[in-house]
Amino acid sequence: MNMSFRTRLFLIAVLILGSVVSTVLILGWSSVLAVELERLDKRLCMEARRLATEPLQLDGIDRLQTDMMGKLHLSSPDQLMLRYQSITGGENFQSVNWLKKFEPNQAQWRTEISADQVASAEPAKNIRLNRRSDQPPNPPSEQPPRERPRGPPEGRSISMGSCSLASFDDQGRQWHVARLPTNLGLGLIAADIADTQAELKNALSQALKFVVPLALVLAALGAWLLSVFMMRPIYRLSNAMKGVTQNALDQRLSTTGEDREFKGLIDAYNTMLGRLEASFQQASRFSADAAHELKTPLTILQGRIEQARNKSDQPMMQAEFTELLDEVGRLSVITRKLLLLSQADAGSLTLQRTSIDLSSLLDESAADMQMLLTDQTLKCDVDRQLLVQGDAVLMQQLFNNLISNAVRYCLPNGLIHLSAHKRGKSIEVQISNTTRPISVEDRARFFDRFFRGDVAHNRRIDGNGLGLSLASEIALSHGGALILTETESNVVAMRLTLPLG
Amino acid sequence: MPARNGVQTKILLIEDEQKIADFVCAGLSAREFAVTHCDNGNTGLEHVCQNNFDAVILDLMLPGRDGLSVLKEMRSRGVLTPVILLTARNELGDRVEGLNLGADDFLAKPFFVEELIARIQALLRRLAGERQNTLQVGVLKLDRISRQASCGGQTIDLTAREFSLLEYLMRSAGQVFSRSQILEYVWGYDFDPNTNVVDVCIKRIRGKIADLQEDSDTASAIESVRGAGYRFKKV
Repeated sequence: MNMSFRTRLFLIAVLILGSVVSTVLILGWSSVLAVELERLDKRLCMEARRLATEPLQLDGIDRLQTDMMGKLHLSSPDQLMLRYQSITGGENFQSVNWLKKFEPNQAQWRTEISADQVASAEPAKNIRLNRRSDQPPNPPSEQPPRERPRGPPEGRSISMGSCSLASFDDQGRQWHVARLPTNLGLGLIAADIADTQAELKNALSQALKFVVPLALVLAALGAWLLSVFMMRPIYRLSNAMKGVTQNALDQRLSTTGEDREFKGLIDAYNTMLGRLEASFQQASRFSADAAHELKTPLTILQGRIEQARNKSDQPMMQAEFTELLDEVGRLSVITRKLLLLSQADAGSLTLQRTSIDLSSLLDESAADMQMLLTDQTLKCDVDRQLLVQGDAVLMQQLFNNLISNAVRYCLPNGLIHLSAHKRGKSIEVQISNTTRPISVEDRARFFDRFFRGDVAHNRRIDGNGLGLSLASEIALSHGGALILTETESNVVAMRLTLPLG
Repeated sequence: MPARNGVQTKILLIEDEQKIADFVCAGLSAREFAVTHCDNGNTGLEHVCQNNFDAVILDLMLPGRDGLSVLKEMRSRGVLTPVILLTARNELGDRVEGLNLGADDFLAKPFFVEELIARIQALLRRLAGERQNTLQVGVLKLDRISRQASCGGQTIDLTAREFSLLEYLMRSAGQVFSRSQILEYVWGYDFDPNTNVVDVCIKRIRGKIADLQEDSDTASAIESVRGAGYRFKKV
């Protein structure tokens, strides 16, 4: 996957923030649910106490049921079941919808709330179950008047046991049951909490509709800010590093105001830059020294041979000396090229720019080629008024190299094609010639220094293998490029682009 | 030419390499120049300021005081003696700087002494106010401004290369130039030294001159020196 570091950072941050937010939401919701259920259970216990301690007349059941429904926030009478079992031989009753299936004796009761707690929890009656603020449970004072006086039957006090709770499922309905025994009887009350849960879920989903998108937006914003703040020093560093070119290796990045981590990075970079500068200085000093050291003996050699040739009156000897002079010339050409190449490498190639008419330069080159060709054909297609800003000596050297190669490697009866055209803001010069097939491997090494292909070796073609790489450097130093274009194996085509000047 | 009115042309050579100085002095003396040699920048500067030289040949890399500094100092002291720089280092950069500082010409090492002599002579002619825009040897005449060649009043239609080649040979008539010397001067660097482009070009020039008139003497003015190169016959 090829995504930017910043995008990755952003996505990771979104993921982390998103999972934190959703964990908080889930945990929060489940604890809210637990608290609400516990509260409901307490209320059930309270209602069970009411049922157990205030046995009602049969005709009061409806009212009690309605009252309890209100307090337990139940919407239909189906969701509430009441049962009172007297052990003293008093009235028993149970609501009509009491599920036979539920056997109190078989249920797993857990004693949750002692009698004291139920009593002390009394004030909690007023605590609303949930957000239904529009339907407050009836305060105890508003309870409908009873037909029978409250309190225990005469002469007998009521003692309560502790409230136990159980739950059971029936046909998708979830019942919570509270049981409260007294010395007179047993109060059982069961409520279907499905509605309560649904209500909670509903409220939650309502909240989520707003909270989740908001949380996501906030998370994305946070992640974006994080990535921006993370990237800022990196961008600043990379901009500063871009400013360091071959010509400005003495520049160092400042560590003031940077964070500790980046200080380390900058220090490492500066150290590397220092080593690079040292080696560049060494290289350019080396080439300057080497040029001087080589040129002095070459000058002496050439001067002495010339002197000897002038003194000699034997044509044979003169010819011999001339040949030696040509060899010295070759040596000094290689020295000069190596010097130029090392200067180009160090970025210190000095150009003396003037306005050059490429068209007339190419005309001259074409005329030179025409002089050299025997049975080959030269096709020329050069636009007029192609002007560039460049170093005349180096530019001439570049074209001399290209046309020399074209003539050198062109097959007998072959074709050389020279073209130069304006292309937007640049000039495109193309020189191609037919040749013996050249392998892809050899083509890839065309610009390597001292590389000479099999063709050159086989045909005993002279050269030092530096010309093309220097030509490419000259093109680069002029803001252009020299490339080998893809052709059939028996054609070599070089394309030079230069900015229009 | 070196001896004008019986007075020898005086040349100061400032060059630290003894072996180079030896053959340059020998070559110049053979052509009747009076050469004084200095092997360091400071004494060279004193010499050039105290004596009246006709030209100075100045090496760039010198002990004591380098060539550019010598040039700068002598020009600032108002010494206008013409200077030819011998460059060995970063050729292009030093060349530009040298010319800006008031050098009159430059020659890159390694160089031919004959080339150096030709440069000195051209420089002195120019300073003596001689007309430089025409070059005439025998009946052949070159107009350097319009780059036109003529032979006894008749125009010869030469290409730019042919003109440059003819000018190069005629400038130092009588001197032999090897093919590679001609190639480097007329075509510049990196032209395939193994081509016969020089021979082809000479053949063409000869043909064009011969076409003009039946004067075989003029056509054979460009002599082939076997095994050595070409020479323009001195009249």
